[in-house]
This record gives sequence, structure tokens and C-alpha cells, in this order.
Amino acid sequence: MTEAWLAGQRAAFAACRGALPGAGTPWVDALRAQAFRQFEEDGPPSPKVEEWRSGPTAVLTGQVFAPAAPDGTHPASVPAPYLAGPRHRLVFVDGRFSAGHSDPGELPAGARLTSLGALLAEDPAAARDLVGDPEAFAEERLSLVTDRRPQALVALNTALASDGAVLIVDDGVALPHPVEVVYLARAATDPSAHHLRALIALGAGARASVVEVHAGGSGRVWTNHVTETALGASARLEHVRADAGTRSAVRVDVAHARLQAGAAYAGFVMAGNAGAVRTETRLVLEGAGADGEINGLCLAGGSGHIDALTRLDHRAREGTSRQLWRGVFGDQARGAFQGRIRVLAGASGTNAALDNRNLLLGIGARAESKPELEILTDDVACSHASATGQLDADALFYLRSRGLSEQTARAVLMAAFTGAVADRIADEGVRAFVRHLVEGRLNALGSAAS
Amino acid sequence: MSEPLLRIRNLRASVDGQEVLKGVDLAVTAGEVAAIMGPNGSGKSTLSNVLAGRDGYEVTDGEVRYDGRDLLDMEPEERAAAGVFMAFQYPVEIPGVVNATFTRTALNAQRQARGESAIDAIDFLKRARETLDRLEMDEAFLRRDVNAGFSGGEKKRNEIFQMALLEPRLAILDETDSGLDIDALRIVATGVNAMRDGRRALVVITHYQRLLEYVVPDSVHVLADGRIARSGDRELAHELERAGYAAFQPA
Repeated sequence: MTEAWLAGQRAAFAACRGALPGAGTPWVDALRAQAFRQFEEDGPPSPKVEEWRSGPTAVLTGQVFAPAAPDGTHPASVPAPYLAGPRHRLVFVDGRFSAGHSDPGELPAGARLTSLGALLAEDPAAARDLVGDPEAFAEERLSLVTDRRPQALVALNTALASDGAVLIVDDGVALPHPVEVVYLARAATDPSAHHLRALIALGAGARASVVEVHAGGSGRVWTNHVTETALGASARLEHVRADAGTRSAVRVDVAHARLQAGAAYAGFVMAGNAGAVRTETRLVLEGAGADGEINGLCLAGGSGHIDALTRLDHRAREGTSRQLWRGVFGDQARGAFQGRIRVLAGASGTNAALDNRNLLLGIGARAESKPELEILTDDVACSHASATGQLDADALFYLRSRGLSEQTARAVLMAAFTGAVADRIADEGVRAFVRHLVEGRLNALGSAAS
Repeated sequence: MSEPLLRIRNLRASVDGQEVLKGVDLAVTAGEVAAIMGPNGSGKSTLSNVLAGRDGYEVTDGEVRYDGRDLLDMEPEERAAAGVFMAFQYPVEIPGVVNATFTRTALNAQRQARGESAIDAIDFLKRARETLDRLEMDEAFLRRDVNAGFSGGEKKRNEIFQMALLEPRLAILDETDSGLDIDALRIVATGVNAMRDGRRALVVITHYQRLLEYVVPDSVHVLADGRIARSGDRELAHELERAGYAAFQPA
């Protein structure tokens, strides 16, 4: 299958490279060619690659997902805005910007909200520093082995990216409203891949809140989404990535952020696709006193599969980081969490915490948790906690003894289990949206499980 | 004579295959406060758990009628909606669930099951505040997570608060006096006595006679080795306090 899969990607790249954003711009063409070569060398991820051991590799390579040419038709319906309050909204349909559905609104001077396609067409030089060299995503292991293979899909994304949101904010500029980016995938007849590349760059002291939402999809759709973020000194970004009722075969989602001194990245992941999800968050605290936060909820039922990976690299002194992850798995669903905190030499005064707990609702559900600490310096405070279990029978009985039905009692306990994660979202409107999403997802899982 | 609100007949129950209740007979009428006293291991907690409907207890014989219904056939939430309340010996901690949300959800779940309209957040808050006031409890109680980090006394008071708010027809207090200081005991007793309106029934399960100084029972029953060994009036409690349970211990 792997050979056929690779051949399919080769054919797709050959067919679409001339029509991809930035085609004809020498550095873009060269970057895409280099990235595709790298992908060919490394191959699609397999369970033999440590970071993909519990990933949805079989689903990924089970169909030859290839980028489909834009069909030019408009979708019958696009979800109404998710955020209730004022927002800047971009909508992408099947991997391409849809101006007609978007409503970027008024942006302050010094803030630019656009699509990758538009940026590469209008101002390719501005994109050059924002798109990472695919080599830069390589996994650096404690053994000092640098392995590119875990990031093979990022390389493929670099080669095939068709579009994605771009937010560039100048020094000192704060966006008053959150940015809502919707990636809608339509049901597909042939196996279809959407390679999305989003870029966020905040200058020194800039502030923004970005919500990337996935919707739609079908068992014939693979979404491969990479968001690259660069935060200047003391910049603050709240970054939410969420599934709003997606039904893709598999959704791969990688966020990669670099933080300069005093910058803060507050990330939140809500993985709740009906199919499989691979979600990665890689934060690099490059400047002193940076603060990285990655919180996540993995909510799967049916035969769903969520594989979450975090990498938090403390490279400078006095950095702080927190990771709070909760997983709820019903029916036959599977979950895996691998979270690593790495404190490099020189990153003294680091304070890092990681907490992952999983709740199994179905007797067929499984979850594994693998927290890792790699501490290469002294004078650090790092903690990690991990646990997997079922709903507390005593608590369930207590609630029922007060009159709550079993289903309500389960829902209350599930909400309690997951509540602390969404509570950490700072923007009130974004928090309300995420809570609503989580509630809907938990209801679906709870009613299926009882 | 009217039918008792609660009638237990020849109740036999086992835990892990071991028979603990060996034929309990007890009748409690509306308006009555019945105390069930007994030494450790006599079956007090098994009796309360069976009445509340907790899993892990196998009823092998006998029946429990509550208000003309087969109590043992009812789910825990049905018992609650029918007006049965259990104040637990060890109330469970539920981090992440706020007391106010929990008690309002419980109250409305019961009301809905009885075909009554739901109480909105404002009316609920008013009611909850009045109840807290009566029990000399701080309003901050409502904002705290259910029993999470509560002291033993606070947990017991939270049970009494819930009881007062839910207004059950039959309240069973399982060792509610254990671990309480004298002030907490007095507050708990205030809450319990407020329930005595001639229509509700209370079953007070206790090892000691202490709570019965404040909540004076109409009847006292000694549970020993899984059976009611003796019944009497409040004097029996005093007698037990003086002489202990030695006379009821298996030889």
C-alpha cells in the first residue's frame, strides 16, 4: 500500500504543483520541490517511527488521499459564525480561501489578515521568513539523533499546501477581536487531501486571539493542517484549534510556535473528529521568560482515535509552561497522549508542569499516556501527572441519590472532568464557544455510552 | 392505624456473599423520628446503603415498602424523586462540580420527575440563601465544589443543607453525628429538627446517643447482628449510653 500511496502523492504533486499558490516564484518552487523530495525520502509515517507509534498511520495510508482540483462550485451551506461577539472571519472550503463566505471586518492599522494564496500572489517576500524550512521541524531526540521522519507530513504539507489563514501583526498592535478561521471540508467521492498551511506572526508586544475551526468532511477526507507561529518579544497569542462536528477519515494538525523573550502562547486543542485525529503542538521557548501553555481535550466515541503529542522545549532561562490535557473515550475509541517537556542547558529557573488524565466510558475504550521529562540543567521545577480511569462509581451514586438520572449524573461528572481545561481560555467569547462545543460532544459520547 | 411511611419486613442482605442483615423488621410512620442504634458491625451501614440503593448489596429476602411502593425496585434517583433522602456517613468529594449547580440540578431533576416546574436560577438562589442562613452556613458554600476539600464537619453540614433544600418525606441520617464538634452538632440538629413537621419521617442511624440529645427520637431500635434486637422509646437510648451494647453482642 505504501508504494501505491507514495505514487499517488507523486502524481498529485506533479499534477498540481504548477497551480499551487506561489507557483512561479523561484523560492516557493524550490521550497516545495525540496519539501517533496524530503517527504519521498522519509515516507509516510509508520508505527516504526517512535513519535507515530500510536498514531493513525493505518487510516492515513489506507486510502490514496490526493489533493483535488478546485471544482469551482460553492458549498450549499457554510456554518454560521461560531463566535458570538465581534470577530474577524476567514472561511476556507476544501482547502481554499472563500472570499464570499469570509468577513475579515475592520482590522487595526498594522494588522494583516489574509490567505496564504493571496500573500504569495501579492507579497511573496513577506511570506518568505514565515514559512519554515521543512528540515526545521525535525525531531531532536535525547540520544542526539535528529530524525526528520516524524515530520514527513509537514514536509508533504509544505510541498502541497493549497492555502491557509495568515495573520501578521506589527509591533505593539493588539487585535481587539478574535480571529475565527473556518476550514470546511465537503464530503468527497474520491479520497481527498486538504493541505492547509496557516501562518501567524506577532511582532513585539502584539496581541491576538486566533480560533481555527474544522468542520464537515467525510470518510474520504484527510485534512493535513500546519500552523506556524512566531511570537516577538512580549507578544501574546491565544490559539484555539477545534473540531466542530468534523467527520473526516483523519485530521492531522500540527502547531509549531517559537517564542521570543517574555512572549506568551496559550494554546488550546479540542479534538473531537468522528474519525481519527493526530494533533501535535510544538512550542519552543527561545527567549528568556517566555510562557507556553498547551491545553487540550480529546473527546472520542465510536471507533474514533485521537493521538496527541506535545513538545515543549525550554531553551532559555526563567521560562514557564503548563499543559493540562483531558481525554474522554467512549465505545471502542482509542486515545494516546505523549507529552514531552525538555529543559535544555542554560534554561535555568524553568518551571514546567504537565498533567494528563483520561476517562474511559466504554469497556472497549483504551487510552495510553506517556509523559516525558528531559532535563539537561539544574535549578528547574518540573512536574508531571498522568492517570487513566473510569467515572467514579461513588460520585455517580451520590449524584443519583440526589435525584439526577444516571445519564445526567454521567454528564455532570464528564463536564467536571473536562471543565478545568476550557476554563483556562482567556477570551470570554472563545471560552463560551469552546464550552458549547465540548458540551455537545460530551452529550453525544455520554448518551452513546449509557 | 395508618400505614407506616416506611415498612421493612424480614430484610436479609449480603455483601460479598456474607449475610449482614438477617431479617430486619422496622416500621416508621409519617411524623416519627426513629433512631437505629447499634454496635460496630451490626449492619447499620448495610441497612442504610440498601435503603439508598447502592450497588454491591444483594437483598436475598424480605421487602421494603415506602409510601406503598416497593423501594428496593426503585433506582436511586427514583427514590430521591419519591422523597427519600440519605445523609451519607462519608459524603463523596466531586471536584469540578459547583455546589450551587449540583443542588439546583438535583432539585429540578426531582421536581421534573414529579411533574413539577423547574425552579429558575434566581428563585433557587433565594431559597438556597435562606436555607444556608437558617443553618448558620456561609454563602460561599454555594460557590465551592461539592465537598471538595471540605472538613468532616463541613461535609456533614452540606448533607443537612441538601436535605433542607430538597425537603424529603423520609430522611435517613447515617452516622451524621460522627466527627462533629459541638457547634456543628447543634447546627445539624437544628436542620434535622426543622424537618419535624408531623408529616415527614426521619431515621437516625447512630452509634452514640449524642445526637439524640438534640434530636429527641420517638422510637429507638437496637440493631445487633443483623436484626432489630430491641425497640423502645427514648429511654432505651439512655440505657444504651449507660450500659453499652454488651448485652447485644454475640457471645
